[in-house]
Amino acid sequence: MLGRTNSVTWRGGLLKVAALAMAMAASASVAQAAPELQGAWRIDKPTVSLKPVQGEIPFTAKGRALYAANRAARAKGDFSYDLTQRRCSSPGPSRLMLTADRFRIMRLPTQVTLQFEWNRLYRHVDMRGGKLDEPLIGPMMGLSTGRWDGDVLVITTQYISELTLLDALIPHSDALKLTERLKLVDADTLEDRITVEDPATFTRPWDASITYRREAEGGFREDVCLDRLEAGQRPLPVQ
Amino acid sequence: MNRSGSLLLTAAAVAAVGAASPAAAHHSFAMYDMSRTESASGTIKEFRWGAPHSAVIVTILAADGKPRDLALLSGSPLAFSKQGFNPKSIKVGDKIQLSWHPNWNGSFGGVAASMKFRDGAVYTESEIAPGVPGAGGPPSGGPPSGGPPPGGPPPGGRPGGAGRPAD
Amino acid sequence: MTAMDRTLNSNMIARICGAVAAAILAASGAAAQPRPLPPLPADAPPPPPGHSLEGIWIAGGRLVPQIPKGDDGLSVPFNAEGQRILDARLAAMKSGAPFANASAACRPPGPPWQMDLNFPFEIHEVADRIEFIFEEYHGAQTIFLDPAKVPPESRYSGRSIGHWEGDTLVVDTSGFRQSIWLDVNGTPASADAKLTQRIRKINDGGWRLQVVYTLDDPKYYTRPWSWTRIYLWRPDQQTFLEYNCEEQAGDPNYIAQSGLALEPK
Repeated sequence: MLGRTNSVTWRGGLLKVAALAMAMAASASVAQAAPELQGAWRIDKPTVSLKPVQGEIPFTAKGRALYAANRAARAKGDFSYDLTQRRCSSPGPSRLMLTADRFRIMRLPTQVTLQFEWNRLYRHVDMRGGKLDEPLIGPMMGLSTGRWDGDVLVITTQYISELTLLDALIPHSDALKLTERLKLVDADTLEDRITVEDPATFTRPWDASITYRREAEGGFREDVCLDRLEAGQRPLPVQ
Repeated sequence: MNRSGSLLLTAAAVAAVGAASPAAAHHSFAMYDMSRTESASGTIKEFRWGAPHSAVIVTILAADGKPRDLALLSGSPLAFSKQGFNPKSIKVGDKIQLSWHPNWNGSFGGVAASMKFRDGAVYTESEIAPGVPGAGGPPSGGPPSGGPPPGGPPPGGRPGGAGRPAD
Repeated sequence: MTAMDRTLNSNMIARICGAVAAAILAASGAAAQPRPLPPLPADAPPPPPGHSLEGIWIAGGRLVPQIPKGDDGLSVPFNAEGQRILDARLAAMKSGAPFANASAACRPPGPPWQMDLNFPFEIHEVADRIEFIFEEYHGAQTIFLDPAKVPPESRYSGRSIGHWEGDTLVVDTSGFRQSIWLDVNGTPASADAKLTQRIRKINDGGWRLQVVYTLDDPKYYTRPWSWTRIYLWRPDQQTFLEYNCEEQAGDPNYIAQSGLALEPK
């Protein structure tokens, strides 16, 4: 193998030369914007459910059937629909925003990072203003881009693996798109207003809202979900 | 149905999943007996996508006629894409003809060698093609295919192949 | 700005494959080089000024599967027990049933493994802490600059206390929850080990993070010893690939089916 090259042959136009053009204008706006979002946050009213701000979740027939099946399975303690509860697999972005543990918001010039105490997960939000290309397989966390709308951090997430749920029960297809608006209600209160769009699962977009309280933070614990799972605990609260 | 339907190779084939397995960066095929190949027909139970390697769980009928779940190392989404597959089109329940190289220590597992789907499309693990150092030989002392795996194949990903870029 | 950084370009392939290729070839004694990252774009921003370590870094160069010697040029000073453990690990690999370790089990492998494999990591300096986030194992390490805030419990990653000496961050880590592998071959460190990292930015034809590791571990070594690693400044690697090893490791059958062996205590 000495001398064997690491050449990769590509068919068609697969290989693109990575000529990164950093949008320094975009990064400049990040550098100035709303530093107060930074810090540690904890959900105000712990819940496992993403609730619409008004009315009921507008399921399609297919969405409703899948949701009902998940609900029925959960009632029997059957979590075959829930890879997080079975294996500690990543819960995906919206379910993680419901965490009962803390998360912190940190930023670098062209990226916002939401880091979660739960199982040391994180979300990367690309602030460079580029277009998202569809991956061959979407990751559990999806791919997120963000921008500032005044003091509001707007995060768009797509390509979220169908192996995740929106919360403890709500299914989604790979067409799911989440748009989040994160803003300070006051100095110590953060709201995440989430718009859920998925024509395969819902008849129209719908909004949920999650409120967090700021916490003075002295570091997260080292949470290892697999250890809890092996000790016979559920990775996440069930209800 | 043509598995290579969508023109993945003209669209940007984006990688977003990385190592589904720990230690993906330091493995080899040292865990596998490349000199033996077993075959069976089976049903895909689960695909755990990752790069450079995924894992596939296939329910096959064991020698005693009872179904058993076989966990195998397999290729990344890009590896499948390069062979004309759309990874998303591979579904739980797909029936396949499977061949694999089993674990050296005899435990029920190994690395997939080929998967033939109902429509005739075949996926071949390119990193263990004949001629790849380590393919077909026992891992006796410093196998050429053997990087010292740091404690083994991390879940879902065992990098492997001497010098071959996984994808 | 396009999202070309997200395409599976030679950059990502290099990163994913590089360590693989390097490990494989290194084991056979070849002078392995990982598939190189493309050059950092000329207009990439530099690191922040002063001693701030904030930003994205990645191990450059080939993956070294086993620390070959100390910075003093001498052999790694194993005692009999340390040598025995490493030898057993090497023998297990050669036998075709390598030992499972934290890495294989999707548990935090601790420093320096987290930094050394060719996966990017990011550093944030937040109040009286420094936070590391690693792509590999979605790892996290908190360096406490206020010793009063260090938690009491042991951690897979140990407990890290840091202080600045001029432009160098000196991190002392102890309180490991279990013994750790310092490299992929299994150079050992006991749970009682004390690991010091002296971390600073240097510019050596490009911005680098230099880390001098010193291990003080009388259980396995006859004296403290040091080795140095260099990491590259790569802001273009900001979007990490997802490392969802739990999807595999959470399957209770995983280790049994993996072909790995359990290391005797």
